[in-house]
Formats: sequence, C-alpha cells, structure tokens
Amino acid sequence: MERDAARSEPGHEVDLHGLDRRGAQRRLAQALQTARLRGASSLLAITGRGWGSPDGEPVLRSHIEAWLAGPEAARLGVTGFERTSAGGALAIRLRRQG
Amino acid sequence: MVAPLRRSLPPSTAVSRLLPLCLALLAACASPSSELERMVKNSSRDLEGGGRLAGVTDANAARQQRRIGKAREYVAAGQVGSAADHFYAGLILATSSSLDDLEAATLLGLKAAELGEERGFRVAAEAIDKALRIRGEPQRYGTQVSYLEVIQEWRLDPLDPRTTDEERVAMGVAPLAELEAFVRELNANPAGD
Repeated sequence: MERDAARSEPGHEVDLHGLDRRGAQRRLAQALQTARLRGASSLLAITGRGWGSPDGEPVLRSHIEAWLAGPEAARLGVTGFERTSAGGALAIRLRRQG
Repeated sequence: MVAPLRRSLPPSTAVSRLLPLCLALLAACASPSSELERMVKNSSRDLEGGGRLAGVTDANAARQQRRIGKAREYVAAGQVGSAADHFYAGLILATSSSLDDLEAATLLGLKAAELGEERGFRVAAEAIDKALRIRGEPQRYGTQVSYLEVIQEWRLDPLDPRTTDEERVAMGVAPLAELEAFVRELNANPAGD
C-alpha cells in the first residue's frame, strides 16, 4: 500500500552530489521540508568531500554549512548540524513541525 | 496472392518495426499515467467555462467522485509507480474531502517529488492545507481561499503564523505577500475575465 511504503523508508537523506550551489540549496530546502512532514527529526545531506573539485576543497560542503548556519535554514526548521561520514555528509537536526 | 506480412519481412526488419509498438503497449499497460492525466484534464475542463464557481454542480461533483474512486483503485492495486502516476493520482485525491484521501494525496505528492516531479510538492501542500481546514485548523501554506458570498469577496483561509516563506517556497507555494496579492487580484477581477 502506498501509504505504508512511504512511511517505511529507512532513513531520510538527500544526495547533493553533482548539483551547483543554487541547485543544492533548493534540493536541500525541499528535502528538509519533506523530512519534517514525514515526522523526521534529522536529515543526512550527502555533500561529498570535494575531491572532485579543481583545488580539492569541498566547495559545496562549505557553502551548505554556511547556509545551514544562517537564518533561512532556521526558518526551514534546522536546529543544528554536524559533519559525518568522514566529512562527506552533514547530519542535520530538525525542529518538529507544529 | 499477398504473402502474410510476417513472412514477407526478414526477422530483423519485423522486430525493428514491431519493437516500438510493443514497447508502447508495455508502457501503457505498466503505468496508469495516461488515464490519470486524462482524468485530471477532464476535471479541469469541468471547472472551466463559466466563471470560478462553475465547477460546483451536482453533475461535476459526481464525475469528480468517480475519478477519485478510480484513483483510489489505482493506489490500492499498487499500480501507481512512476513520478507521473504519483503526481496525477495525488492531484485527483487532493480534490477529495475525505481526510484519508488527503493523507494519501500528501504522500503521493511527496513521492512524486522524490521521483523527480517537483509539482508533487504543491499537491502535498494543497492536500495538507485542505485537511487542516476540514479539521477546523488554520492552513499551513496558504493554498486555500474561500469566497464569502455575503460580502462577495475572496479571502485567504486563516493561516498558521508559524509557517515561513521558506517553507512555502520549498513546497512550491508562493511567499505570503504574493498570495495576498493574488487574492486582491481575484477581488479586483471577480468574474475571472
């Protein structure tokens, strides 16, 4: 049954690989909202470690971290985050939707 | 005498000619998208052609109930698989007044979005708002408007003040200022011309 299938998903995560900054931010905002609607209290955002970038710096992760620390992310229910998976992902904590 | 087609063509030619047809038939059998899309188009057609309240007739309501029933059948039978299936089924169920249908529409919309059909977010927002209004609670995103006959005016249904514009935009809904401007436009142009 569709409803059961949607509820039984093992984890809430979003893969931001291959997206530009704007696209990644948009995808993450949507994933944050979806996760909260599904009752999740956390979301794993996979950013990659930046090994594919020209200077080896994790450009996307830095951008996403800055965005997550800002007011826009707070208004999407983000209460905090931390690096995980050896720096290749961000574990984001979410406020429960009212 | 003309030889039967299958004998007159080399096997490889027959396969190359029949393959697209077979694939099209398989696709049609595997996914109810085209039928669901057709139902959505017919539903829109019912609402057109006579002002914004034209859709509220017994005949239209009965047809819409049949469409909702059919969408429920597709979902229950597990025939909803693609992003388009989820989107159109959600769109139809979001027109229901049943809380079960609206919950299903929410999940279908979110799944459609997850599968790549971003308009699914808007379907989910609409179903969530409608369910909240049926429960007598303020809507979350701002997708529901009502026409107040007494004062002949459109109003945005009461809104949960905790919802942010960022949450609206993530769900494919416009920021509050734009929603309010839309309602002002509705009132300035009540005939929908």
